[in-house]
Amino acid sequence: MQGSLARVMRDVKSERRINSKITDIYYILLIIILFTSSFLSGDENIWYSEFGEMSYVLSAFSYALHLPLAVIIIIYCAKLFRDVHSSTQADVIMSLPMSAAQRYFSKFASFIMLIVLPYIAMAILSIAGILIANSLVWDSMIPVKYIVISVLTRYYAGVVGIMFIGAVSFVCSSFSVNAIEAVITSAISCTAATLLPIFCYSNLLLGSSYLTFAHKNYFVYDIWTFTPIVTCLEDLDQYYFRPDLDTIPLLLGMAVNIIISLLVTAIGVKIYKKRDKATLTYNRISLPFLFCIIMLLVIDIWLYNINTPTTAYIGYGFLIVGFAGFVLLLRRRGFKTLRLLKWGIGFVAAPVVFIGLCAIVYFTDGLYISKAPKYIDGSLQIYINIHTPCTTLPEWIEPDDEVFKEETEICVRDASREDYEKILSVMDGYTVNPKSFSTFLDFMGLYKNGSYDQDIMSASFLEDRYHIFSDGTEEYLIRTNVMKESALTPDGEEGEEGEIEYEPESSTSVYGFTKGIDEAKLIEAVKAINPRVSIYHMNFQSEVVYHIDEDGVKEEFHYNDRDDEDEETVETDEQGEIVQ
Amino acid sequence: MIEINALSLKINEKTILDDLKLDIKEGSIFGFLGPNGAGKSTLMRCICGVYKPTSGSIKIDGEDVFDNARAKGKIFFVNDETIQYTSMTLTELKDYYKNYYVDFDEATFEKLLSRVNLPRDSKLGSYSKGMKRQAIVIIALACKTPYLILDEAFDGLDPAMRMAVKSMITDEIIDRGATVIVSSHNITEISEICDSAMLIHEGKILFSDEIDDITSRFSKLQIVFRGNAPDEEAIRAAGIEALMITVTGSVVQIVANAGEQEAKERAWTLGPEIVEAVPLTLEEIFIYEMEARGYAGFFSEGNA
Repeated sequence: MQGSLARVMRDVKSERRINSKITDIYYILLIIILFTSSFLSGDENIWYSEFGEMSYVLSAFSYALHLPLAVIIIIYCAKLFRDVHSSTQADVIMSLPMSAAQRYFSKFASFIMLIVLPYIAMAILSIAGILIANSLVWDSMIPVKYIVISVLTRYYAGVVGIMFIGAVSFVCSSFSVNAIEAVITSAISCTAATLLPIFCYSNLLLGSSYLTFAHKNYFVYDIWTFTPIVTCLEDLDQYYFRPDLDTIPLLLGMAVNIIISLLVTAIGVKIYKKRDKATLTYNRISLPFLFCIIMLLVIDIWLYNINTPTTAYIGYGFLIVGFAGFVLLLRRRGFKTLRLLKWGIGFVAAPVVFIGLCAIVYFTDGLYISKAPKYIDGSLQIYINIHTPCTTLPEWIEPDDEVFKEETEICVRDASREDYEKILSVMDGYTVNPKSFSTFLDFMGLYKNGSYDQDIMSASFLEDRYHIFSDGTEEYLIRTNVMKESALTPDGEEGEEGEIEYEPESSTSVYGFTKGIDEAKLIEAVKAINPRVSIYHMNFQSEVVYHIDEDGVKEEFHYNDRDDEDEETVETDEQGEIVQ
Repeated sequence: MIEINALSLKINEKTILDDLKLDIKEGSIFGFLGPNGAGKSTLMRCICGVYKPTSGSIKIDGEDVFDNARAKGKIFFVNDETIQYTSMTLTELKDYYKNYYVDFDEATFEKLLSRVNLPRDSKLGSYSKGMKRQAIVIIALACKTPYLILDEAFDGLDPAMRMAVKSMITDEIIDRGATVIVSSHNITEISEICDSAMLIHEGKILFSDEIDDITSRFSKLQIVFRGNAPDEEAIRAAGIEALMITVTGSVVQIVANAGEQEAKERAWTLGPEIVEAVPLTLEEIFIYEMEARGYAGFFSEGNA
């Protein structure tokens, strides 16, 4: 055991010597990137007071900074596998007194010792750096625990990301015939494998859930191009990373992810053990993997464009291009017609299976997964919006805009998760065009079925959450965005440093066409679930608000002048007369 | 002992090695001879576990070699390239190999290094081809493996370097009785240092034996006739299996695939005036053997 460990350490030392240039570059980047990332990632704590919402851009940038590290790691892994990429190196390394499994394990040990551990060490140093700066330079009142968790979240994700990139690169480098192929397949696989669950969750699973009571959700994706990624990351952040600003789920998640990465790495051993020098010039081992990578990429593009009729053809275009590319690859490797036919059938079968899986997800409303995320425990504000399509448009609206003349919004205050589920069931009763084969084809972007000439109803919710700072100030959290100078306190009053106008995004929305809504009936049904309801009725010129609770109805009239953008609030008495 | 039995290797449906059988005894210096692309280097790589045989087996001291760390620990392979690890210094390269070969002997390394005076702290990239070759041979010998495999070890070296490398190998091997396998185009070189050799062509072993036995199986005769000599057909009809026949007037020169005595007896049946044996080198044997098989290209500058 001791001997084996000593041998592994010697191997790591040799690898460090051989790949000294790339590891030196990695370490220099590590210092620059992690320290910069740490200071940028204190988004809600440090930078918010300086830059306001711009701090979120800085935070996103702190993640993006890790990209050069990802590239270096992929190249480093490819270099580790030089014995299966270079004829000369194969002679030297394969003739050394080591079995294939020992060589593979040595590479993995080098990856852990020379890539992962330095990252962790540097992350700890950078956290210490930001804590010192926070106490000496900014003199922040924010608890240390919160800052550490906020920065640590990036590094948890960083370690998981590095392990994942390493695992995928090990597999890709194991089957590739040269370093360039290894780098390209690793980069594509890492990107495609990262995006696949995001698109599956956001575009397929949530997309199908949105359609519970109707069949359209144009209005989510046509407007926000990157909504699938953002939605998924936000949900992951809430669900998974810091539900209660606690580290335990995060550590658990990291452990699970690392175990998955180790399992993926173990697949590489199987491939690597089959490699000898002959596979450098003629390598059939790579074909199933290249097939999977091409399919993965095609399905990603397909999923990204699914359910958006304007761009759905892009996914199908890539399917054809992928098929042609793969056939070309097989031809270059001298495949005859019969073998080509077999692989061709496989290539056709994969999308068919994928469509079948999409159908299951679609017709089960997203595998019957609840539309309300599990982290909702506190009080909610549930919004039901009813839009009526425009028939005549005012001059200032472009004729091509898909807008609505009138909108009624029913807001249920102090609602629970249970209320949300019940309200969605009520809304289900207004469904038009229930799911069918033709609506499924529409969902897959194969057949246009929708129409704008119907009422549209949507439901969304906000959750009220608070965070108490060390100085005793209670801050209002909208989702996880802690606003140091929040406009709202738990009592709904303006905070000391108020004046920030911030409109939080709702976390989940459902959209759909309706078969005509009896608004009064709907309001009664909602009131029966929860009596604390506000009703907003809006058109282009005005907005009327009715606040309803156990004590009765209070009505407000807001006049909205579109020409000068000024807003005037007019209170009405019980008879609806304007109070001057 | 290295035992190769029914060894075949196919790459992309093409047969590279075809049903080879070969035993290499411990303590011998064994030469692999053959034209370019014959399969010498591939066979060496199979012995080192770089290629996995399609069928058959290669055993080193009774153990299969492919993917077997213990068996591979008994071999050091010096390939025909000199470009690997040029970013390292000689000391670093020595340390690299020392990691893997437990019997690495620093004293041997220092002793051999003092003979050739290579700069130990310069990058190998700054070495000439001959210096790189010397460096790797020194390391190979210092690893003290029972088997040393040298692929085109003397290729491209100037005569002085060639001599230095050769003497390092022979001195060291004689001292500890290791087994060396050398491949080369230069048959003279092989015949100088090897005690056994084999000829491989198109993936098949044409013959393999101790060099003395090989030379004793062939003979070169000079036959003088009264008047004109018989033609080639008549000579062969006398039962002489000739690799080469040259007829010049009344004189015939024959390289026969038979021992001297047997060849002489058959030659006398042609009724000549004189039959005498002429010295035959290993080089001539291989050249004529290859020519007889229709491969005149075996002649190369390295054969000089």
